[in-house]
Amino acid sequence: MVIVKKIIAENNKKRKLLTKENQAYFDKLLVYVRAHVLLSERQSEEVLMEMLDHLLIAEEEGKTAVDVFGPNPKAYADDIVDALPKEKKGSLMTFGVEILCDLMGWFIIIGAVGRYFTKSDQIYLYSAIINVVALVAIGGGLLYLILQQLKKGAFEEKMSTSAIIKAGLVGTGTFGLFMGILYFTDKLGPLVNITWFAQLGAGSALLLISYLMKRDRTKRY
Amino acid sequence: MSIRSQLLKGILDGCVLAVIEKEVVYGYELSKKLQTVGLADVSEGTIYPVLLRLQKNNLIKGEMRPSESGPNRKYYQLTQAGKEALDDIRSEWLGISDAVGKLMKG
Repeated sequence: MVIVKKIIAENNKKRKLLTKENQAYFDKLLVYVRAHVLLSERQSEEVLMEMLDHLLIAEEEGKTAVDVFGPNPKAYADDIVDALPKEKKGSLMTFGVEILCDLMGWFIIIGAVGRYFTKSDQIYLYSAIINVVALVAIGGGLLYLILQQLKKGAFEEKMSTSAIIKAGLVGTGTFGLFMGILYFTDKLGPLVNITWFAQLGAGSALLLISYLMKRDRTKRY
Repeated sequence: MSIRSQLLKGILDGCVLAVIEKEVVYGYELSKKLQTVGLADVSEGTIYPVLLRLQKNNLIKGEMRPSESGPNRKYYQLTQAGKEALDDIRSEWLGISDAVGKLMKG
């Protein structure tokens, strides 16, 4: 079985054994470290596991997470993040392509299903390209914002009202932006004959590529 | 930060290397060893950033494997570069502690 997946599963199981206070403390460290997706996943998960094991033994000795990791979880987590090695560039690239194929695959398949109902056998070439580029750019931007928020909010007890409003605005804003782009660019460029079925095939092929890449990636750990 | 922990900060890497040189250990064991020799005020969690940094610099290597009591643990051992680094730290430290010792005795 895949090592990283196994460590994460073990982590999920063991975390439940912690006292409520200790788990709350450890969860903050965990969210913060995992939100740094450019760092080596294997090393990140291994050190989280070591820390969790350590905390579990310390608990039996009557110590708390504050005794073990110090009173300032953010400062401690920053020490960990600073010391972790970066993920290899190659792995980041292939991981990016994998996510890209997955995202585009679903988008193309949903479009194909839509065209099955509208019975159209033609697409506007430029519109189609613009749609896919917009999807990737907005999807990537949104993912980046979510990770930033996770890093920033990991050590706050409660999400502030302003952060919730901001998240809501960003969410509806990006959705509106995407819909706007689809709406205003719907008839650009030459018409190309592609049946809904061929489009479904293309989308499925992308999903298959993404799936195979994922299988290969997790096998190499 | 107490004076003691400020002083320790610079030499903690050396202390960790010295423990690992004697035997292959995992994180919790390492912190216990540091405590038993008298470095009790090193907060236990401090060793994990140190271990990560030493791994990144190729001075130690860690390996996950099942422990005697069952669960997987990450065991650390020195690399060749780690041995050399420890030798350097050791001779530097002995020189410093000798000199500082003379001064501090007054």
